[in-house]
Amino acid sequence: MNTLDTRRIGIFLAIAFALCWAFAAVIYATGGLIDSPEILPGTGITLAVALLALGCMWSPAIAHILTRVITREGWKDLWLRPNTGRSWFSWVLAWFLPGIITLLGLVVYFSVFPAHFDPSLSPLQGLLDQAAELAGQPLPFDVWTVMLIQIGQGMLLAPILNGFFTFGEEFGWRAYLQPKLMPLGFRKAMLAVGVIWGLWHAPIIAMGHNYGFGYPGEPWTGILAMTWFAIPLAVIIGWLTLHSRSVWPAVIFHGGINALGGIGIYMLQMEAPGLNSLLGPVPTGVLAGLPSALFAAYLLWKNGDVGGAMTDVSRETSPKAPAPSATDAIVAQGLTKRFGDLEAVDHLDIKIPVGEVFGLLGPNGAGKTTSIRMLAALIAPTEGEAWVAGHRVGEDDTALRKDIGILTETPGMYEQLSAERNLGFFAQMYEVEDIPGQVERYLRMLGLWGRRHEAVGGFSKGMRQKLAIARALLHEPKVIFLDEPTSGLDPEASRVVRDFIEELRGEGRTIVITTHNLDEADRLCDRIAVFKSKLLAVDTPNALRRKLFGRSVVFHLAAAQEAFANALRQKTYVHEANLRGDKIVVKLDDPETHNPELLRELVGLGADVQFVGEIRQSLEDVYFQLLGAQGVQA
Amino acid sequence: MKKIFVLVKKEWEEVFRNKLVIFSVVFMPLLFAVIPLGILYGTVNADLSAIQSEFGPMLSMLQDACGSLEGIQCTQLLLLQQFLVLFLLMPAIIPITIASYSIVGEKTTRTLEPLLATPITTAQLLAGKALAAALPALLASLGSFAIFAVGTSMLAGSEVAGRLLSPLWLLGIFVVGPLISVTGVSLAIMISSRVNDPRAAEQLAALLILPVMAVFLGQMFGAVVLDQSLLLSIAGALVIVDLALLYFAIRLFQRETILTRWK
Repeated sequence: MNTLDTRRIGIFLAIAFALCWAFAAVIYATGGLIDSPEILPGTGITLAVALLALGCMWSPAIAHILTRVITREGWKDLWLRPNTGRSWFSWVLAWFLPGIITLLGLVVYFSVFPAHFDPSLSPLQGLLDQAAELAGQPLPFDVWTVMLIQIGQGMLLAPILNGFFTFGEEFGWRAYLQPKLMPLGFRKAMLAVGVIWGLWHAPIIAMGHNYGFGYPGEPWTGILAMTWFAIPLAVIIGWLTLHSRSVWPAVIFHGGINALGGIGIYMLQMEAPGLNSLLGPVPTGVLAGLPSALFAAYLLWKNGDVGGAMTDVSRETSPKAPAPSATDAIVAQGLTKRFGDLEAVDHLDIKIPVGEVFGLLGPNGAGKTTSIRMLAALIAPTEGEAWVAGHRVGEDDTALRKDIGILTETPGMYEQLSAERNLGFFAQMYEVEDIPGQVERYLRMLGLWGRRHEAVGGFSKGMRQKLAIARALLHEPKVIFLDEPTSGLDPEASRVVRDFIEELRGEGRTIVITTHNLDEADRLCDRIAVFKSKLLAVDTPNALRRKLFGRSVVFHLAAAQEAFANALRQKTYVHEANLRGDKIVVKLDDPETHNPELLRELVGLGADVQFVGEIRQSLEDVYFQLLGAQGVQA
Repeated sequence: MKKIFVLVKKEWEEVFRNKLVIFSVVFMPLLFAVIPLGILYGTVNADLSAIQSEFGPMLSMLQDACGSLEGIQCTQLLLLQQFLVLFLLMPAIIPITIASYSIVGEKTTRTLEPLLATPITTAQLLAGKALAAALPALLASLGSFAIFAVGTSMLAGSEVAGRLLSPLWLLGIFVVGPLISVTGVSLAIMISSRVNDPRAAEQLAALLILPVMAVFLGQMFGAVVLDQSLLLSIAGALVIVDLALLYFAIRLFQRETILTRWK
């Protein structure tokens, strides 16, 4: 179970709160929000506005950056990728949801307090009258047209315009604090972010922000109401962030809410009795905030602690999966791939140390190629996690691809280009430094240097396969995936490829091979995994033999008799002794220790022992035994 | 950026070994320059009244474009004006063969998976493919226009040729043409990444020239007057369409679907 990184959370919160509250103190000392001095004469921009927008709102982002620097955390998982392709729905929601929940909030508020609604929009009309007076002529719009324009621009344009400021908050709360709190689970993390976010606003709420002055219980009820408002908003924005795995929808949503929050004021009958800013009409009011609270409650109910978007989230924040050790080249945990109803790979768990040659065996359609494609970041897992060459799959796949080489199942080449040009092109794509040197090295190693200028279209299958292997190695990857490297090759070409793999093993590379050639796997692989959608067994070939078949010794006699077998069966360490023609086959655990005694026994009984050997089961026997057992289970 | 140009270079090395591609990039622009020049040549010694009686109603509609040009020169200019659409057609037609083959070609040669296994992003891949298709088309169109302008100067005089450098023509050649090219290339690449057969990609992508042809025919029949404001409107619309197409081209390029569903 992953634990909270309390140290970093503490440092982040200390900086975010200290900065913002320090700016708030300056605002308070220089006249508060209302009487703050104008810093750009004639623009209405006061010191308080500047400190709020550029200081306070940016303090979470500054806290995020400083925490990473102070704690030497590095710069991974910044949540800055837009991921529009991955989750366009989050973007659409982020853009339009603020408008929808704000307008619904107004409907709720004015339904409860119809007397508070001013259909002539007097506050806005007052502003328009001022503008008309300045212009010296009546404005060509009526007040409702202006209101609709205001709503329209608030929904469409303002999310971007406000984005600069809201990014300051979101890059802290959603891109740093929220992932750090995710080990608590979705519900608790969202609630925690909401409460922290709400309380962070306390000083400026106390100075009249959002609720003004004169409301009952000021300022404590205001701070409470703000916290109450921040919780559902944290849930909605947090969910959008997790769903898109990007901070940008949060920035957009927050910008939209900030832009539209004030429109309710224009509809308010200022003289109406019983006005209470804690209730509305701005969405920070308890009543006007009801739609967002209901939507947030729905999200909390739907997602729970592990459902829905959490699958994506776990990959970004890794609350459960521990990072692999430096000695592991590949780690897969519960790696699963489904294509519709078909479960191609079912919770694959493997750990492959650096420098191992690992064989993945299984029948056609077992999911071997799919597994390799997932590990090579070519397709995304439906579930589970994997690390390859130090990179988490799905996180920065471009970096991952730089560190791996892959021989695909059906390796294609640009037929009209020469062998040298084919490799040169891929070397450029992999950003190899010494391209001519690397191309020459591998063409020579694989015996293709003499044919380097020829178009690949004229190459035999074996030559193409060798070229494809060279392509996979040009950039000296840490991990190499070879999907059926000798498939369809003649014995001579197969041998060249096998010898080459042996050379690579000598260089200490981590190699994953899929093959149907069991003899080849037996010879090349340190360990093998037998696989049919799910992992059936993984171990060294010899260990698998022992586990499945035990060890057997055969005594070749000049003339075998049942009496000899019976005598051997009396030994406690002999599991079986069977007469087969002139041979006695004995199953036992430790032939090295017990063979001499068995031999003496047989000679003592008068047997003429010609020679003794161990029966070695082929990997094919192991393979069919495992697949057969799996078939029975199924 | 470097990867994009590496890909462009590789694409050109491949596609320009194909004679059909060379034909479409070289011959078609030449043809499109020569046809209007041939017609122009026919007007040099033609009876003006015959031309005017033939094109009378249309010429009167376009008379404003002549300005200070009079008589045969005005008629020649108005005739040439009809061929502006050809220069808009070229950037759409020429890259289709290259672009429509771009992704599906990688699929058929089984090079797409190794290519996707390199550290190239989808945007880089599609940008490389699009540039490889669009740049030759744009260069060929500009070359064709240059030949056309020089030929016009020789046949109709520098005054008429000078009108080819009017905002209308410059807008068409340097703005609308490239925008149409981006439209065609984006659509062709989108189609190419969704089909399994290069021929299907090419045939579907060829349908893209229909809207341009419609403008051409509309102009020939007098239903459409291709003036500056219409071209500006088309350019504005194309900017929006192109941005949307580029976005959707990246969105529709599903690496996983392409790798797992294509056989």
